[in-house]
Amino acid sequence: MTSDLLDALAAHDLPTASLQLPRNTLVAHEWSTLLEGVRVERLEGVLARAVADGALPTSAAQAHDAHEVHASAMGSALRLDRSLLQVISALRSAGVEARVLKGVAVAVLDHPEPAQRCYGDVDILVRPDDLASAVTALEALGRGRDLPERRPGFDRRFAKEVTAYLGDGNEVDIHRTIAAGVFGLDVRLDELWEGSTPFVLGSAALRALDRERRLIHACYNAVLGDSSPRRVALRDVVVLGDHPDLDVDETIRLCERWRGGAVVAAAVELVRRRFGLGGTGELRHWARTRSATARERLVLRSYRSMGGSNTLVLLTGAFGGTGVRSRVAYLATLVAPSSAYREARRASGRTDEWRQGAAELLGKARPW
Amino acid sequence: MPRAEVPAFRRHPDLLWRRTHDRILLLAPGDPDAEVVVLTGSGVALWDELAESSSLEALAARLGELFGAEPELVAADVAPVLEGLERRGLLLSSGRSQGASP
Repeated sequence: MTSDLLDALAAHDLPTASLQLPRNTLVAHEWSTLLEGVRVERLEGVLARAVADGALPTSAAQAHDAHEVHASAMGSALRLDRSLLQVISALRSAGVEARVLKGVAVAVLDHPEPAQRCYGDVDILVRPDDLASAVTALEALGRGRDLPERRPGFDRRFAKEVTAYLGDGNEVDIHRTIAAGVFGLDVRLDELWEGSTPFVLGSAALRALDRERRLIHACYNAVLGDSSPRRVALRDVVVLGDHPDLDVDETIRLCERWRGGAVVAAAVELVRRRFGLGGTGELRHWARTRSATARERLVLRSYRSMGGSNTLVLLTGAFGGTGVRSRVAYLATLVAPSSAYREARRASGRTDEWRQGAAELLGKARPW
Repeated sequence: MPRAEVPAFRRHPDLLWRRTHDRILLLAPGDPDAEVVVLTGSGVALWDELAESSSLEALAARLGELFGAEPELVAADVAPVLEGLERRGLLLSSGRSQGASP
């Protein structure tokens, strides 16, 4: 029931969604379960709006709860924005250009009121050659990266991102590309950087990806990210995909060039089914009629949201990028990471990669 | 005749803020130890009025009209709020010449 309710809430105010919110006030335990789910799914802004416009009937106390959790989420968002500005300032001092990804960029650029979109970390994109400088610059702001580089050169050539922690405990994901595994390696990074949109935070002039690239990233995030993507991430696909100014042809052209057409189509179809979306827009028509190739189906199933595992995702990277030597180098870093990396994993309490990988592969072994 | 300086208040341009259903949340970005400040009730209306640079008197007059209260009483309530917001780096105040020629 809660899952359906969260879906209906996530679909609230999406123009063509058919899911219905309850017509009666929820009883106490249903309400508290909903609030827990809302926090996990980062739907505080949507809940507050649904309560304010009367779409979700509530008691006075429940309405108070809804606005409290939203205010709390916005307090966190402001602290993250402050961290982002610190990060951008440090990067600029180091001569590193960055794009702001996901959270605050989508909140400011794609919502009439930024408070509708909640988020829990800071994501930035830097060029591969700047990644090491960016990591060094952020070390001065806190604890630095969570793990050492897998092997010298891995980050610049193959990593999706490096995670670092600031002094206030906020997490910063410094992205090289927008997905792990083969789909991330196949993104043409020069083209990813070609389209950007300016926005202002406080008095700081920042840049995000342009709308088409933001949508592609949202689709990758929805399909290739967590094993169970947050509903706020699914909403992003709808909000961006249904925008009247979206250049659908350019979106399709780009994702197909990056060999990610199957990912974008899967994401658009996923949200259409999940939120009961109607309408016959060009993007939805393309997604519904596009046939994935055997390779695409095989690779997609390696990702966690499709039943795969982290190990399988990493192994798909051997099919990405260009050139045999690059692929061999990639596999070598997977098989034999540096001793510093292995030791840091042990020290942080993470499972041994070999054991974890073997367990995942055995657990996932099935005829394809 | 010497012209009296009347401070005008405006939002700090570097400020980070969000509007929710019933409140405004504010954070000064320059101070890593700064806490989020929350405005509720008439504080939201005050914030809206501060979209443009305004003196205490002008703010009190507009809020008094909005809430049906005497401007003098409103000014007495608003003055410490403005002072607090300025102290936290959320507002800027600047001297303004009263009765200056256009």
